[in-house]
Amino acid sequence: MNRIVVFIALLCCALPASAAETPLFKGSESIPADAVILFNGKDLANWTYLDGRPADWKVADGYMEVRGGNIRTKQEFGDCQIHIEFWLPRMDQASGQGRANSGVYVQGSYEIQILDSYGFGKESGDCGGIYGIAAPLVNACRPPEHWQSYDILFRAPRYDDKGNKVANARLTVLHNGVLIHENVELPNATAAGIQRDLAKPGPLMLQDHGNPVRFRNIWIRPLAS
Amino acid sequence: MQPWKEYTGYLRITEVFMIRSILIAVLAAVILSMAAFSQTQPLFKGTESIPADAIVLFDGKDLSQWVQRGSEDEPAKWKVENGYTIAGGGDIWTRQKFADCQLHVEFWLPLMADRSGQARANSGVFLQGWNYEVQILDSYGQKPGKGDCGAIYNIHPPMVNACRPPETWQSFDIFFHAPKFDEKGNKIANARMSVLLNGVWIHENADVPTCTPSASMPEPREPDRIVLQDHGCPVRFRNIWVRPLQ
Repeated sequence: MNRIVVFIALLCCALPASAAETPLFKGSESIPADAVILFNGKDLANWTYLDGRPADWKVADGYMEVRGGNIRTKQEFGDCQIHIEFWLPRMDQASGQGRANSGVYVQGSYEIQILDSYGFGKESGDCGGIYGIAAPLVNACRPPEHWQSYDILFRAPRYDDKGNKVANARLTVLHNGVLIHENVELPNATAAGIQRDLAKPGPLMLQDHGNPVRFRNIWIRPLAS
Repeated sequence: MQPWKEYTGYLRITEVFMIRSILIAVLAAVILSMAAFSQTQPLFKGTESIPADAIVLFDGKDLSQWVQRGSEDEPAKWKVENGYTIAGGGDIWTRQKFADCQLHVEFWLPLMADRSGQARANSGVFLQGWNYEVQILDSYGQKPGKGDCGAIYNIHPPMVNACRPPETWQSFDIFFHAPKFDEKGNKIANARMSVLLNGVWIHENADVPTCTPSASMPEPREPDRIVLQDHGCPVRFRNIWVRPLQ
């Protein structure tokens, strides 16, 4: 009995130390070992609809496609790095906000817009915009029907003991590898956020805006604050 | 004075005005269409990875964009083969000069199993002249310090060790902002850098208060060249491009 307790105690001590030494990469793989894989192309086990029902977006050929409402991760995150890939349908007959609209909500609150803005538009409502807050530095869209990526570096807002905000949230974003936001301060949540208490970690939410947008290869690295 | 001469003179003045206004109109149209073009010119046509506003510094074929460091036009001595270039023959730097920029560089480190510390596949990427170094080293599996791979040399260790093993291609994506000076030459903002190593964030808007080779070096006031270091190790580079940032 004592031996088991000592063994478990030793194991607990050893685990954090060994985790720090584990390399993030073994070879040329693209996902670092400290990432939480949120979608591996096979199932939606990490996701639910906003009312808690299991997410039922279409899953096929390694991607998921919007269906039946917004979905959110079961896990919640504060400071983090996020990688996400998306694919926009070509909707020639639609325009403006009707053209392949979706969005990625960080901490359930801060939307990075997804839209077919190829060839025009770089306002905060266009693709890559932090909706209603910050326009992308450049339009870095690929044409519709091509896989695109966001690499996001997020710092959650900071609050003191009394619940007063002492630092705004901040975002840096690469769109298809191109810098579109650099350490942008976010004074408030964007429209349609679901997080009530921004002092706490929140889920990643993907928007169903009624257009058949696809996602794949989603991973997140929680960051030390 | 004969009437026809007055008449001709009047016509000439009108012609001058007409030609001038046509020229102004044409010029305005050209400038407007250029502005519109630059706003709407897509950065990507399909799945290519290099955006259209990037300057390709090395495409795997030749070092025409590079010269020996310290020279204006002494051809770069590094060998080019199989789509990469190998450090050897002294540092090289770009012909063009840059200040604020996004820089993509891929590198490959030889396995130098009999070496340790700074002797193990050492090289470096320097921004805005031989002034701000992001370190290249085989630090695979090490607890990263200020001299390890991805460090802003001697100033900031990387947030995490995001190295791949030696003999594997790796990448830096660097976002650099030059130090800013007022009209009297007083520094009003330090240099800043964000860096991803292999797609992992290792520096986040890091404050770089001095040059990295030495804190006593004068900091650059003007755009300057990007430098690749030859530290005596056969480190390889490929796929190098840069986008000036506003």
